[in-house]
Amino acid sequence: MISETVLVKELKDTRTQSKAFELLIDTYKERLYWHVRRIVLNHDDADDVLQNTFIKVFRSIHNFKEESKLYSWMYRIATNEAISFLNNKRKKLGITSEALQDKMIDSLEADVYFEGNAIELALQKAIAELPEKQRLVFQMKYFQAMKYETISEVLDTSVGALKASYHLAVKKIETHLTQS
Amino acid sequence: MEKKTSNKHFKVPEGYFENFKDKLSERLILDDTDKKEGFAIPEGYFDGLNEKIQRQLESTPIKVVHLFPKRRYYMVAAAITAILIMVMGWQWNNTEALSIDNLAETDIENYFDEYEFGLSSYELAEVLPVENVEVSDILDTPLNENLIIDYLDNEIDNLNELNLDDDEY
Repeated sequence: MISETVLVKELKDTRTQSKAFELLIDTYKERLYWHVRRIVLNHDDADDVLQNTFIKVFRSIHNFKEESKLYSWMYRIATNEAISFLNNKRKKLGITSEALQDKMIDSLEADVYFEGNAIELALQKAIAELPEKQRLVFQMKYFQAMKYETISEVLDTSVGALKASYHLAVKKIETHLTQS
Repeated sequence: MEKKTSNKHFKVPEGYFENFKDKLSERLILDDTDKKEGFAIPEGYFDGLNEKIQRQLESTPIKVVHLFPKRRYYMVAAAITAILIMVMGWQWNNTEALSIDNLAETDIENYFDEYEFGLSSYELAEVLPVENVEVSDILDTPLNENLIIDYLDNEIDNLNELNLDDDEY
């Protein structure tokens, strides 16, 4: 498998970037898709955000300083794209982010691409009630088993703060699920 | 009892171990992506994704991003502020110093009417020069001489209290 350093080098070189970009998409499309999908919940929205993410990665690769891993950098772009997408949606509808989360959960129940059972739906409802940062940390840690150090690079937050956020998120979800 | 370490009685399909890693990865991806927490995806979604993104990349115009737009705004704002300060400073330097002559008499009168100074008539008399003050400057209606004489006759018991000089009789 091609190393990350070589891949970045090829992505920055106009002669090799097309092939390298194909490889980049194939390598990261699924991981990024699921990361985005957990934030926006709906498949079509996730598809839009994922495409925008890759386009942004392709066009900004020259700005990538290689201070962090390519993977973390792409996750950061995907996270920002997903959050911006939800913010734009919220502004268009003229509602609060809490109201948008409720709306997303309601839509999820009728979504043909959601086949979760009652417990999985209850879990999504509990996650939707978390504040944005806690929601992101929980999704990255619990579902994607990412290391705190990587999450720290993606969310630009200290490891200590992330651990506190995750702890709070777990407690809130437990309380929510127990009560419901 | 001899420990059996040989697997000679068992066989595996040809190339099984060589392909094990690939098969396992495939399986992991399938398990990982088929359905997550109830989320599903359209069949073959990932297969066509690469092409879709490439098409999107070609059709999406590159957004022209101005370099340091904020800094440019700050520079314009700083330039405007500098010009304003210069203009104001120039005007300030050209303004004559204010003196009592610049004030309209009505303004001064209004000022004295509106503010109390806590000064008695005697204190004011000590400050104000009376040499050039005529009775007509204070009173709107001219005093009739007979009225003055009547007033003095009725109100003043002792003319000495008026402290008049001899030539003022």
